[in-house]
Amino acid sequence: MIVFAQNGWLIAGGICAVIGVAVVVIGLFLWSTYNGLVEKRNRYKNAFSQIDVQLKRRYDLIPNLVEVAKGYMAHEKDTLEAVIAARNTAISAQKAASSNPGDPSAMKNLASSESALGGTLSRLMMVSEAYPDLKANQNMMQLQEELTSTENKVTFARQGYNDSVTVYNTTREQFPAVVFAASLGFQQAELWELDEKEAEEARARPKIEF
Amino acid sequence: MDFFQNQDKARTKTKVLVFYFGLAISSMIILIYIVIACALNANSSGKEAIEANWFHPEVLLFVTIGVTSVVGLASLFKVSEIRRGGGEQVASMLGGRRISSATTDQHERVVMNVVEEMALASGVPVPPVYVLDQEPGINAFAAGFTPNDAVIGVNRGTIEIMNRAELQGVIAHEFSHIFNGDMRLNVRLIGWLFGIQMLAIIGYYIFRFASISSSGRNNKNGNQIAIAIFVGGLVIMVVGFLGQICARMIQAAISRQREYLADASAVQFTRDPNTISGALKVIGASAGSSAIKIPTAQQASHMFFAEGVSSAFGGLSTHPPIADRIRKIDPQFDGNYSKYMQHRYQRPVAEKPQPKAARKDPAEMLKNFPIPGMGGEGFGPMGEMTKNMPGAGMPLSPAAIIAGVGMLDDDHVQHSQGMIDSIDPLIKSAVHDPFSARCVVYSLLLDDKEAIRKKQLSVIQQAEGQTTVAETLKLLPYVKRLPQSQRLPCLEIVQSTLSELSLEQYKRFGYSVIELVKADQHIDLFEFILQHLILSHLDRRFGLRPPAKVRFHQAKQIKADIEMVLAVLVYVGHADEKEAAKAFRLASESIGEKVPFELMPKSKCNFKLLDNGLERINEAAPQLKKQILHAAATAVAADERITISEAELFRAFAESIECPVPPILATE
Repeated sequence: MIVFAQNGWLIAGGICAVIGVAVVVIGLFLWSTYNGLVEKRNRYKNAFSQIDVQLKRRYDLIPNLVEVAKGYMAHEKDTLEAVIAARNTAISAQKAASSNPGDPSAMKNLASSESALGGTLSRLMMVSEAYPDLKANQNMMQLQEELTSTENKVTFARQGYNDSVTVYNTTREQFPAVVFAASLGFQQAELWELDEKEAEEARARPKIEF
Repeated sequence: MDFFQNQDKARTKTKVLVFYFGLAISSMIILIYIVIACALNANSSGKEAIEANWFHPEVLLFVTIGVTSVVGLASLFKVSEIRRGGGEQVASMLGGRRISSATTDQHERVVMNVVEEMALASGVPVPPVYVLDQEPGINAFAAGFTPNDAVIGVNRGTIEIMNRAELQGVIAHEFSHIFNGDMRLNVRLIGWLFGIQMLAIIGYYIFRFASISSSGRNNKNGNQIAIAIFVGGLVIMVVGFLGQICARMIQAAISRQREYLADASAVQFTRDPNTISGALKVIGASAGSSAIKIPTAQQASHMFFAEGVSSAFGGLSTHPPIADRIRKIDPQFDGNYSKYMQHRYQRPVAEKPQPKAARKDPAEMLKNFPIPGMGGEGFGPMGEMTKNMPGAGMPLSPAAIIAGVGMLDDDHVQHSQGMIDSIDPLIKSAVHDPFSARCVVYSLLLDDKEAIRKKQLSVIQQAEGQTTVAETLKLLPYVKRLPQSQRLPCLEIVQSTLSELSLEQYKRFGYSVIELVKADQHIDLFEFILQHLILSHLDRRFGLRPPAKVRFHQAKQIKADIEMVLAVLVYVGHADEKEAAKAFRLASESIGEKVPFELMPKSKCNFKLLDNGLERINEAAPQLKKQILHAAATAVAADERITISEAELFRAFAESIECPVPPILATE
C-alpha cells in the first residue's frame, strides 16, 4: 500500500506534467492564433478608417459643388436634389459601416449607396456640359478637380482595405482559427467590391514578388 | 547619461530584472517542492519511515524543469510575439485605432502635429499614433522595441481635454521613454509577467481537469490519483498567483522609477515645467480619470503616462502618486486642482503654441528630482548640447552632435514647426496622404531627360495605374520647386504616411521606387539617400527585413564598412582631395582605437558597398555606434561648412544606424 502510495504520487505528478506541457503548447498556439486574428482584424479596421477620412472629405465637397451649380442651372433642380439626397443616404451608410467596418450588410449598403451617389454625380456632370458658363466657372473647376482627386484616394484606400480584409479572411479560414473564429465573434469581413473598370485595372497590374 | 549609455543601461537593467524574476521563480520552485515533500512525508509516515525524508532530488529536478520551462517558454513566446509585431501589436492589443495622417478631425490633427514636430526635431522616424477611442480617461503610452518601431498611443480623453502645451508635455514624456530604452525593458516585463501568469493558468486547468474527472469515478486507486492531481493543480495555481503578485511588485517598482525619469526628461525637452505639470494637474483634477477600462491593460499598465489600473495596495502601483509627481516639478503646488482647472477653462485652447515666457534654467527646474545623471555638472548631455548650440542653429562641434542624440530640445521643436509650416500647402497635404505621398516620391525621382522620364512613367503606369501617373504629373511642378532644405523633412513625413499602406500596396511602391532609380542606369547621391531612408525603414515596419541584432563590439571587426561610410562622407563634403584626406584623418583619429583606417580612392566608392556598410554598422554595439557617429560628425564638420547633401547623407546615416540625431542644418 505504501509502495503504491509513493508510486501513486509519482504517477499523479507525471500526469500533472504531461497535462501542463500539453496545456502550454496548445494554449500558446491558440493564443498566438487568436492574437493574430485580433491584429489582422485591427489592421483592416484601421484601413477602413482611411477610407472614412476620404469619404468624409468627399461628402463635404458635394454641397459646395451643388451650391455653385445651382446658380447656373436652376431648372435642373431634380438633378441637384438627387445628388444631395444620394449624398445623405451615403453619409448614413458610411456612419453605419464605420461603426462596424467589415460587417457584410453595412459594407454592401455602403457600396451600393456610394455607387448611387457616383451615378447622380456623373449625371450632374453630364447635364452641366450644356452650361458653358458653369463649366468655365473657376470655383466649379476647382471643386470638380478636388472631387476627382478625392475619388482616386477613396479607390486607393479601398484597395488597401480589401488587401487587409483578404489577409484577415484567409487567416480566419485556416486551421486552427477556423475552429473557434466564429464562436469567438470573428466574423467573415466583407470586401468593398471593385466595379468593372477598377477590376480591369487591377487585373492588368503585374504581381510583385520579393 | 547619454543615449548610448541608456541603451546599454537598458540591457544591464534587463539583467537586474532577470535576477529579480529568477528570485521569484526559484521561490516558486521551492514552495512547490516543499508542498510535494510534505505530501510524500505524510504518505510514508507509516511504520517504516520514522524520520521524515526531506530530500528528493528527482522531485526537485522535476519541479525545477517544469516551472522554468513553463515560465521561460511562455515569456520567450510573448517577447518574440511582441518583437515581431512591434509597438503596433501592443497598441492593437489595447484596442487602439491608428490615426490616419490625412485625418481632418481637429483633435487628432493637433496630436499628429505635436508628434511629428517632436519626431523631426529629435531625429526619430515619425511614430504612428494610435487613439484608444473607448477610453474617455486621460492617459497615453509608448510601445515598441526600438525607436524605429515605436508607436505612441493616446486616450480619446487626452486629446479632447488637454491643450496643446499639456499635450506636448505628455508626448515629450512618451518620447523620453523611447529614448531612455524603457520600451525594451517594458517588453521584457510584459514577457516575464506573462510567463508567471501562465503557471497560475496551468494550475487552474489541472485543478479543473481533476475536479471534473474525479466526479465520475469510484475506483479507489484512481480516486487517489485524482485527488493528488487536484491538490497538485491547486498548489501550482496558488504558487503561480503568489508569484504573479511578486512579479507585479517588481514591475511596479521599476516602472515608478522610470516615470520620474520620464517626467524630468519631459521638463528638459520642453524647457517648460508647466507643460508636464499641467498635464498631471488635469489628471489629478479629475480623480481616477486615467483609468484604462480594457482588461488587457493590466499587463501593460506600466507603459502608461499615469496609473492605468488602480490597485488598492501601494506596492502594486506602477506610477507614483500624481501629487508627488507634480510636486517634484512644481514645489509650490498646494494640492488644489480645482483652482488650476478654473484657470484653465478661462483660457482659449490654442492650436498654435503661445510665445513662451522667459525660460528657466533647467537645473533650477529639476532640482527636486533625485535621479542620478540628471542633475550635476553641465546638466547632462542637454547642457552640453545647448551650450554649443545657440538657438536652433547648427551645432558644428561633433561633441554637440553626439550629445544631442536621443535628446529633444524646444528650439529644435520650434524649428521643425516652422519648417513644416513653410512647406507649400499643396505638398504638405500631399505628403500626409498615402495616395499622394507615393506620388511625391515618384516625382522626386522623375528624370529631367524626356526619354528616361517616359520610361519611368510607363513603369508607374504598369505597377500603379493611370490615376497615380496623373497625380504624379500634377505634383511634379510643385515638387520641383521644393527648396532643397525641405526635401528631407518631406521625406521623413512621407516615411510615416506610407506605413499606412497595405503590404500589397507597399510592395508595389517599393518595386516602382527601385525601378525608377534604376531607369537612368545611374544612381546619384540623392536617389540613394531617398531609397535608403524610405525603403530600409519601411521594410522593417512591414516585416520584410528582420530587426538588427548586436553583432560587433570592436571597430576592427567592421573596419572596411567604417572606411566606406567615412570616405563617402568626406568626398561628398570636400571637393578638394587634400581636404578630404585631412577630414578623413581627423575623423578616423576620433574613433580612438588603434585601427589603421585608410581612405579609399573615390573611384572605389559605390552605393552597393555603402549600403552594405550601413547595414553592418547598424549591428554594432551602442558604444561603438557612438564612436562611429562621432567620427562621421567630425568628417562632416571638419571644414566648418555643411552642404545640403552632407546634411542629408549624415541624417540618412544616423537614421540607418538607428541613432536619433537632431537635424543638422546646411550652412549654405
